[in-house]
Amino acid sequence: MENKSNKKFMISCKEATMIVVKKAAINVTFSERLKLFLHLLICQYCRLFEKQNKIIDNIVSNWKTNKKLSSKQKNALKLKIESEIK
Amino acid sequence: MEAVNKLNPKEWVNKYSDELFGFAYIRVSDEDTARDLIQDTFLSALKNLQSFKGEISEKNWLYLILKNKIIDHYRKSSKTPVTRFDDENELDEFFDEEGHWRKDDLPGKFNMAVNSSQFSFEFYEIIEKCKRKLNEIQMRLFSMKFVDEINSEEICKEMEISSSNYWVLIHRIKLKIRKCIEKLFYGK
Repeated sequence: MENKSNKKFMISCKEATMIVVKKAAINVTFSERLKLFLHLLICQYCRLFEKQNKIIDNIVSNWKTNKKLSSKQKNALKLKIESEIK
Repeated sequence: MEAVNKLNPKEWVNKYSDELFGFAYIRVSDEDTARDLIQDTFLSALKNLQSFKGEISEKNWLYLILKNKIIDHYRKSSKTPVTRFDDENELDEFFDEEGHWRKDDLPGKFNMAVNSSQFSFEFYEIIEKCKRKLNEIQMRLFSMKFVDEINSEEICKEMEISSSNYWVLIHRIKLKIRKCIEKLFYGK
């Protein structure tokens, strides 16, 4: 019995990181929030994971790239468009 | 009266090609594919000039076409997402049998050096590299979820996966990306 209730409240890092990922996107249940809270109290690695997860989300949603087409590629595209217009 | 939006195909390349290319590149992580998508976008726009009614700007119209091209691209490249869905065992790469972090995969302190207010292109390049390590399905999911911020129900529908498959995939993507960033950024 005791073992069972332990299992219920103490979750593994695998489960905890899953809740972290979910929580960043949707509303998780109260019991999931509680389990995660308890886990994060004792696990510095999953705390770190949660922070890093936020950073990743933040960077990705503001994603920028400085990749550009070369002038050669642009000219090729222009020619293609012009030949289609005719 | 406001002027109706007009199309000027001869100016498309000068005005929009870099922007559209960057948009596509972020979503497909491959320059050649992105370039093909831009070309397809312009060509199918030319074929459908008469469908342009001028309610939106020329630029938004081209974006709309490009977005559809990107969706088509992913649909073609992963025809049977469910069967290609990798099994959960792959997660063992990160956790042991009891679900604890494996020693080599313990999260390090990559957050310490990152100033969240100004991410450099260098950091984006690292994420781009890490993203290329994802498989096709993961990459598509990643773009939809984190770049386009489409909600999960819609993604499940589009990709024909269950919600639990979805979260397993997202979980794994996050673990992979996190580890890769740490490795590339801090040479851990």
